[in-house]
Amino acid sequence: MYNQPDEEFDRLCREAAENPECHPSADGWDKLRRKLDREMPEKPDRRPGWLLWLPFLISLPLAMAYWLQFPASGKDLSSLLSVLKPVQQTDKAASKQQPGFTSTNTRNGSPAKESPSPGTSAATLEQSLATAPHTKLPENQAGSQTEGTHNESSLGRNPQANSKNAGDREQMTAGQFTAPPRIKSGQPPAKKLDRPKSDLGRKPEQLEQRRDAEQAAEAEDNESVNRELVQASSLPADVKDSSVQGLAKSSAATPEPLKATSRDSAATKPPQATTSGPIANNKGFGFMAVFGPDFSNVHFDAGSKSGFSVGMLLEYHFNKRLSLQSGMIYEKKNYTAMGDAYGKIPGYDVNDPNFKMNKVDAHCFMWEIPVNVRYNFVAGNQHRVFAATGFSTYLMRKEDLHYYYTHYNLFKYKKWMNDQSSAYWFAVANLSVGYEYRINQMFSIQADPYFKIPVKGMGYGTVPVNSMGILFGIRYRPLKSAAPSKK
Amino acid sequence: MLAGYAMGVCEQYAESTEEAEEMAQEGFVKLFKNMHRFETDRHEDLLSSLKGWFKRILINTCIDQYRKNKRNALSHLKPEALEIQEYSEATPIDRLSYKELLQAVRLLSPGYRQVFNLFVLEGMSHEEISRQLGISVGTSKSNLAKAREKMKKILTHLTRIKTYV
Repeated sequence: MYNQPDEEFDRLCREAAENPECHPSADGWDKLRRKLDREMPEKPDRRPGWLLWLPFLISLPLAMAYWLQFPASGKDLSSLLSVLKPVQQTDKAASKQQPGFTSTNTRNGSPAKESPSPGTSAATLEQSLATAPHTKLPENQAGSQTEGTHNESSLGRNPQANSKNAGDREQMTAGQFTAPPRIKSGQPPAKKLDRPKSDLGRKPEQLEQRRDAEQAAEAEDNESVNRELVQASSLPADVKDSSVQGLAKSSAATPEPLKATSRDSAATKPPQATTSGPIANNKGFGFMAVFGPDFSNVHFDAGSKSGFSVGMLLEYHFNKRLSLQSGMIYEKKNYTAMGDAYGKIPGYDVNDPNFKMNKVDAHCFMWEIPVNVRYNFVAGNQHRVFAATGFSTYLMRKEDLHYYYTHYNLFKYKKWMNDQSSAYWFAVANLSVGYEYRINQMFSIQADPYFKIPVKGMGYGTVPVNSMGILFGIRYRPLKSAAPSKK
Repeated sequence: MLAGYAMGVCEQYAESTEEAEEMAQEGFVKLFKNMHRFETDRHEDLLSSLKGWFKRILINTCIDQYRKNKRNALSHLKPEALEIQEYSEATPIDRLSYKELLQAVRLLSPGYRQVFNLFVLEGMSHEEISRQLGISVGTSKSNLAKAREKMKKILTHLTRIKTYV
């Protein structure tokens, strides 16, 4: 051996080293375990089961809080009245010293505001509400009427003249305008009305702009009244008398021509078709872009990362409360199926006694087509709380599957991608409760926590996938153009 | 399964079984800490790939231990534990057991042992060994030659003892 060639000696050593006959000592494992515990302390298994319910847990108290804070938002006017009456009675004393309460624009069906106005009784309010039609008027139209009333009252007209002019207007513009609420003679009218409801929540700059616009409109009205006066002088005698008298009366009653007067004078003009501005509609289509995180699981086994959802929804609103939604949402769902929950693996028989599935990590890319019915429990002008339910169809585009299994006592791993598209019709039932905040007449934002219950399995392994998450959305509802009306 | 394998690798580099066990445990800790770096989807035979990767971890651990010992004290540069007589009649053997190899390797000084293991058993080149151990290529070659010579002496001696017994 001593004179053995180096290559031969190296070969012998390598062959000997190939079959080591070493075994760790009996306490070797304990030592290793202690060392591992010291170096890599085991983290507690965080099962975010409660986390999956978090969106619901958050949304529920929010909805309750909103409901309690704005109890009248979704109720009709009679219930609103019952809410307001005690307020009037209890605050009566205070309203004598301070500006009292008065009703504002009730014609658009929106809840009446409480605004400082001296001398308005609860009876007046009640009557105004009772006589107010429940049909909703366009907000801008309603707003302009309020402005008119504001002008009149701010100019210090007496109640008689006020009511008389209101009656005149009603006669002259019958069929064109909805009559304003009558004010009983002998009762003090609403002297000064508060800002329109649409002003609520606006910034001071916006309000200033609005005031400027009002002043400009007022100036325009003044000019038009002057023009009417000039025209009246050239009319036939009978017409001249009546129109001039009427105009003179209103001019005499007020130091300045009024907006309402200009409307009156419009009756003398030849009728012409005009179109008012766009108005918000309760009925019609809407569009919504949605996005948000998605937490999916199989049998509520935690361990997978969150996915995402992004898509577009089309919705049809039947009325203020009920709507139907559908669209396309692209989703990535990540889930982990523990044990034999995932029942299929290419190239193996899962029923083979020598085969044992340990875990499957799945990353799925799919399109979701939801068909949901939504109902607004709280259907205020700015805040809405809703619930939606329906079914979703899934179009599976790609599945990235990671199998961890044991075959003949050997731990194995396999990665497989299934890129064959497949459809799963109405595979999931949707439940959601959400909140919507209206930014303006066209746009609103919403948060919609959801829970998706599997109706049947989907994917290559036909697994029932639960999903939870929250969809954030931006809704666009096009304004409806008002129908042409004759003035 | 991997524990015996780890011990087998570490025994070749360690001075004693206790040290080998310590190094194997250290290797396991490194394995678990770096498990996420092991790209499972890149390998057909997962177990072989894992073993190969683990072996690299173990060898690096052993080399680290050798460097640490080398820095610590000169005491580790122990004199030859066994003075072996030279025998004129050389009888080449055609088989060597793991135990004999291990016994012989452990009688080498650490410097010789590392070079011998890395060159003969792991198949590294002298350039790689020089980089790993922080020595020159010439030293690596010299150490290898001396390690071979001593190994042959030791193994011949052990064979003779076995024959007598």
